[in-house]
Amino acid sequence: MTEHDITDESHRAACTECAAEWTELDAISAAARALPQLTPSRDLWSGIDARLAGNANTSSSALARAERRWFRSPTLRMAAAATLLVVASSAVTWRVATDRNDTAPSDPANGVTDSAAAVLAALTEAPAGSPRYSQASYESDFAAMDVEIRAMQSLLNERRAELDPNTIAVLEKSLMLIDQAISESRSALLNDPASQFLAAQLARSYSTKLTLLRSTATMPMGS
Amino acid sequence: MTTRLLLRSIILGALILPLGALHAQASRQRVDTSFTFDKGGSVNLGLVSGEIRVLTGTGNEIRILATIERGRLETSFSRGHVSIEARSVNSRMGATRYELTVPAGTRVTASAVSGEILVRGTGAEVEAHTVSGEIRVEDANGAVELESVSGDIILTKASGRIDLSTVSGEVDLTDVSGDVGAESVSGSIIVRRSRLRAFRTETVSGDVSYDGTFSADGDYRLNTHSGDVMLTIPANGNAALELETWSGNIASDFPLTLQPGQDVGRRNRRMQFNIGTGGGRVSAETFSGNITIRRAMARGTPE
Repeated sequence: MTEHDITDESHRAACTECAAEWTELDAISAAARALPQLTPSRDLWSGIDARLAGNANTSSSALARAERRWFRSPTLRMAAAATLLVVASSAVTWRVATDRNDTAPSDPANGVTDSAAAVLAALTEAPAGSPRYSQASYESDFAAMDVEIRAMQSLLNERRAELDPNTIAVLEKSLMLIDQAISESRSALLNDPASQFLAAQLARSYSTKLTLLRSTATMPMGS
Repeated sequence: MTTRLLLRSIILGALILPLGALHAQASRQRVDTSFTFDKGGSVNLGLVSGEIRVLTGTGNEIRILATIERGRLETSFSRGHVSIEARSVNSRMGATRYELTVPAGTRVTASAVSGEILVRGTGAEVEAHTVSGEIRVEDANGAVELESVSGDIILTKASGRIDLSTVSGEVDLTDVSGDVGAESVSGSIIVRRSRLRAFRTETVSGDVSYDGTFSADGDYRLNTHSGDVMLTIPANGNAALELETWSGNIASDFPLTLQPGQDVGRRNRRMQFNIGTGGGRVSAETFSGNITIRRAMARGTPE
């Protein structure tokens, strides 16, 4: 069996397939490095704290799955490295939060790397008696996520030619559905700003959109 | 002159045709082998376009039949592990097909970009990923992870920790037990005749449906933005329900008794009540869809 070690420079010099994949990975890495760092609002920590206490929900695992998906064959595994770079932008969420809290655990392994999921946890799973996650705070967090979403959408646009048109169509239709859900939740929140249910619905839509965009960024060429 | 030309053409054709056939044969690779395989071994299969089928035999032998057009198969075979990956040749790769018959208990990992995946009867861990193909798994146990972009996910007779994710495909589960997490954007998520201890599901526009039993210490969270939620609860079942819809309706076969502070106004209908003696927490939420609580018919009773 031929081993394709893409990290081996001499192998890349002899293998055009790996050299092309390395160039592609390099481009994705550069785009990922250009992603903005997110800064969560002050009281987002209460949600993160709840998650660290073992209340991980479906959404929190979404990003971890985004890292694992598609990458079972050597070619597809290539893109996994790109995901790790993307994750770095969200890991900042955790790091910033811990920087502000002396009692926070220092190991992010079980922590939150998905900002939208952290907002959702703050809204739905905060321990009894913890400070209420205010509208001003989650609006600030959503605004930060919008910045990340714009960056990820730019990445998707750059990858448009590399993906199958049918896949692009599915992704675009899905993103439209999610945007519609975000818009509806936002409109409802204007009528009932105190509704934690609506804020949670909004956070779910954001989480879904971020997860989808991150997954898209790491799909193998031709998908 | 004409006869000579015709004769030349025939001779030339006789020479060229076999060469063409030889070339076609050379660009097609086929693997057909079988050998003794460890119970609990694993197979790892990857292709771009085609089909993956993993079936289960009765003995301890693995049978491998793999073909690829205009490409090559990168294979690794041992008593405990089989790996087959499709590779392009000169940037070209055609349809690929794997059919394996494995001993029960074999762990399967399969990836396809545009291709269907079927894993039947292994009774072990399964991990499958596709972009546009359908994933169908029958009889799995342990960690089961199935993901697609537009392909449907169909899982029958499985137990364990089950993670399912699709963008636009449907998720259809029948006779499943354990913990299930399922996500979709536009596809519906349907669970039938199941015995889950935990069920966490989210979709944006798809419907969500659960028909099964509820564990006393279970945790069931069904959420959709614009889809409907349907829960089918055994007549003698117990569950602590929390239902909320912003602009949809709530309907129930079970009698609902409003508690102080509960709201069934025109907007934001929210209800919390027990069925039977309560028990497992069941949360059903939808922004604009309806929530329906149905009483299950006794098995065998026509609906």
